[in-house]
Amino acid sequence: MSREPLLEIKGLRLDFSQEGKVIEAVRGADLKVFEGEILGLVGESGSGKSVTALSITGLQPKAASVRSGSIIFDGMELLGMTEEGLRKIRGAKISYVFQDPATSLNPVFTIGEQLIEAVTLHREASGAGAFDIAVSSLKDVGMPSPEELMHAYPHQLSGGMRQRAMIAMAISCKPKLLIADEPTTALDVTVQAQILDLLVKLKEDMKLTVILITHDLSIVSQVAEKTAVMQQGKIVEYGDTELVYRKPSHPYTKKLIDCIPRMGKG
Amino acid sequence: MKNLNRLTVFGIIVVVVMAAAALFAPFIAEHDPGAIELGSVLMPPSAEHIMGTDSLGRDLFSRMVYGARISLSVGFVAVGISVIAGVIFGSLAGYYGGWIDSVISRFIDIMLCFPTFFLILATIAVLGPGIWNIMVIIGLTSWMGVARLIRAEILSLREREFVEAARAVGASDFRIITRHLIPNGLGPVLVSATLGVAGAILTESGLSFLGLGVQPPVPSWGNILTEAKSTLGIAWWITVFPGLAILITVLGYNLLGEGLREHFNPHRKQ
Repeated sequence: MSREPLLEIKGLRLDFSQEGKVIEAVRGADLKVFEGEILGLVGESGSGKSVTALSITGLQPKAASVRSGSIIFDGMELLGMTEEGLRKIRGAKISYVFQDPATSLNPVFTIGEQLIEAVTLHREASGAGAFDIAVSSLKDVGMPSPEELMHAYPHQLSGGMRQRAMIAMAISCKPKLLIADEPTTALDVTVQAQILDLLVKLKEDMKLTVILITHDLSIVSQVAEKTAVMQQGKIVEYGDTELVYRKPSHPYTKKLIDCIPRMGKG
Repeated sequence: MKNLNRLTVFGIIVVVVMAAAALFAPFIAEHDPGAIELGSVLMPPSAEHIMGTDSLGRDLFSRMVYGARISLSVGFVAVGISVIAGVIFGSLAGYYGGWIDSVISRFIDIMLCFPTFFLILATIAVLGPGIWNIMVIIGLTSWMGVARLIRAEILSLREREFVEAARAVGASDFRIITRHLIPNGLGPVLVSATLGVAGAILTESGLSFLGLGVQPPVPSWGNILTEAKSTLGIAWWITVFPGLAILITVLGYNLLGEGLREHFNPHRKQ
């Protein structure tokens, strides 16, 4: 393992302060993500996984502040970078897909308008060029008849199609890292599987690196090469997914694995 | 269209007819609104002058039609100014929150403390009457409602995930406010603006009636009423027609606003 990681988080500490009370959400998290792999980041609600992911590009909520640590992406230190600098990275090099595709799309604009916005923000394209890029990224995510979809409003699409549209938007600027925060939680099981397949396909086709955040270990076991388990603001387990499954070193990981329902048990 | 309320339809018709009258005033009015005809002073409504003539022999119908132009344009420009000011202040307060919100909200509270009409009177006393002054002053004293509305809308919208998604693709604050938040919060503003046009028309008429608004010989519904006051005992028509015009127009805008409010009401969309 002498490769340089694409993203390295070292000793990240992050506090939430509200009305004088300080809550430590992330307490010294370390994480490495290598190019071209899918990392599953697992943990229960409130374990700090989402806020860790958001803080990579400075998107954490206003009440949260990073105390210490370092986040190195592609050789650049992201902590302490100006808002202007971070904005150039968001969407262009690191992009996000959020949990609920129903609310992540702006209801008053068409899919096309929103895709084109994402494209024109970072790529030197406008007008017809931006339209073509938007259509091709809809094709990349396996949408049937992408040209027609460009004129559709979010409420006209099903949940799975909306999430595909979100992913299309996220990959339209050819980012290096895609952070998917519970991308399948709001979807039903068959659509879940399609979205996961899509992530794997994108990883292979575009050499995309993916951080897949979820509370569902079974999802991670299907697609991720590496697994990190987060509990109470710390990464308690990190390694190859297979190893983590076979020989979990931390008692919390064992408990999580026991939570996966299996055929013939109980 | 089938679930359009009858009253809303009435409102739409009034608004459209009045707007058409204002737009096509030169084609509709048969006489020059300023032409003095001393031979036919204070004539009651007849085939020649369908609304009669005033104390200088000017055709009342023509003056009313040109007056619609003035009254409506005051209404629209004033509301335009108030909506722009309201949207700017309201979205800044709603989006940034914190001390910016506190400063803007307190400023709104302060502005709301002044009795608007007297503030307008005092300002006109300093700046002098005139149609442009009226528009600007009405606009700048009526933006607070819009600002509060849009602030409240944005306060709830900014927590929605599509805002976070927009930020995650690298959109700037300005872009998020103008492209994502304001278009989503515009419904209530449209309602308030429609009602605001009615209010502005009333204010303009009131000011013109007091002689502080649109100055003669330019006709506006308010100043026609002022001139009618002295001949009220002998020429009812000069008072009744502009009075009715104001009443019906304001009613029309209010009904349309009410209809729009119904339309945007989420509880009705089942």
